[in-house]
Amino acid sequence: MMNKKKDLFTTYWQMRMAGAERRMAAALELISHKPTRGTLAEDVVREIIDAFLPGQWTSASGFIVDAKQRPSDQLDIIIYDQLARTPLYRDENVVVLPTGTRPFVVEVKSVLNKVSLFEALDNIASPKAQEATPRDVIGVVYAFRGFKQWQTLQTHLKAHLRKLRKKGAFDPAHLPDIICVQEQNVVVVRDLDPDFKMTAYATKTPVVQSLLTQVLNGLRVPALYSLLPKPDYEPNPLFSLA
Amino acid sequence: MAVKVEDKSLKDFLKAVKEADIRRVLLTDYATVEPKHEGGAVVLVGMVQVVATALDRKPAPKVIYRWSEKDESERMVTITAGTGRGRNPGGRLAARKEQVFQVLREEGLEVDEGEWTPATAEAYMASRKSIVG
Repeated sequence: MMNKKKDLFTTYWQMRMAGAERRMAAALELISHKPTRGTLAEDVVREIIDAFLPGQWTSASGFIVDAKQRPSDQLDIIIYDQLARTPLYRDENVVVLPTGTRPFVVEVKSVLNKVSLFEALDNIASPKAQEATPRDVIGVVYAFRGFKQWQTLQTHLKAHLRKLRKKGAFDPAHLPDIICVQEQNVVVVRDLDPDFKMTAYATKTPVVQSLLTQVLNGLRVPALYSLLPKPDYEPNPLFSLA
Repeated sequence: MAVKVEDKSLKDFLKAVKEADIRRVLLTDYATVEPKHEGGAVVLVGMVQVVATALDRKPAPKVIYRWSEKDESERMVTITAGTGRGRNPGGRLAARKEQVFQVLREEGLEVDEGEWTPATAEAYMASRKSIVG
């Protein structure tokens, strides 16, 4: 009986996931023809995430400020626990949150190129650097398009790590937890334990599944996350950086 | 000021905390995702890491005792009915973290949310010095 019930919910959530995949594919189609539509990209990703969030969490764009009132870079999507944490203030869809709220942040790019990749990496590093323990902020870069060759992404990521190390500013905990490139079906996963590495995979399933897995696990909603299909990757990584 | 980190089993962590007469432990959890081999495929799975740390500020260099455990979320976390009260107002409970919390409390330790790292320990020692001297 229990298994039958579980199957019912699994089927339901698989269909919800299929809907999310179609929504993202439709958005990609529009963005492909109008690559400057950055706000469309942000709105669609936020809409998809919101549809999977239990009511305890909410999303907005905005800033995080530290105890000395220094703001982070502006963040495209901040997901936070609205029952446990109150923003310092809110104006329409922009919130200002204090540090210590353990938020989940997403940087959305309609097109990823060298400049927008570096910008996204800096934006994700900004709220992480404000926290005493940077791992309290989970950060994702989600791009609809970019880098037809995965080797180009590898080259730019490598250059970014080299630049940080040269400046003495390298902290692996400040890097995004995952980077998703939808059109190319590429996901880069950061690992800190036991050693730092960033590994890129070609996904067999739509990239949005990896985003939602990261969001639901990051917000500790495993009962829902376990009902979703698990993102499936090609067994051999595209590249690995350490 | 250098701060050393010593990774320990939970049993040794409790022993070290007791011997150093430490009364406060920080406990936290982190969520990550990791690609895992399942059969012939690689799938992305959610992971949770529970970390307990204690700062021993008496020796030089200072020492952070650290215990951590990492496993798949589905084995580490559960959901209980939310009551809107207590430490988990949303009703979502990291089961393993809660078990460790109970063990630490039962040992008579005070447990707060967070993690001691060399950076946070150094910041704390500097602020303590400015207040206590």
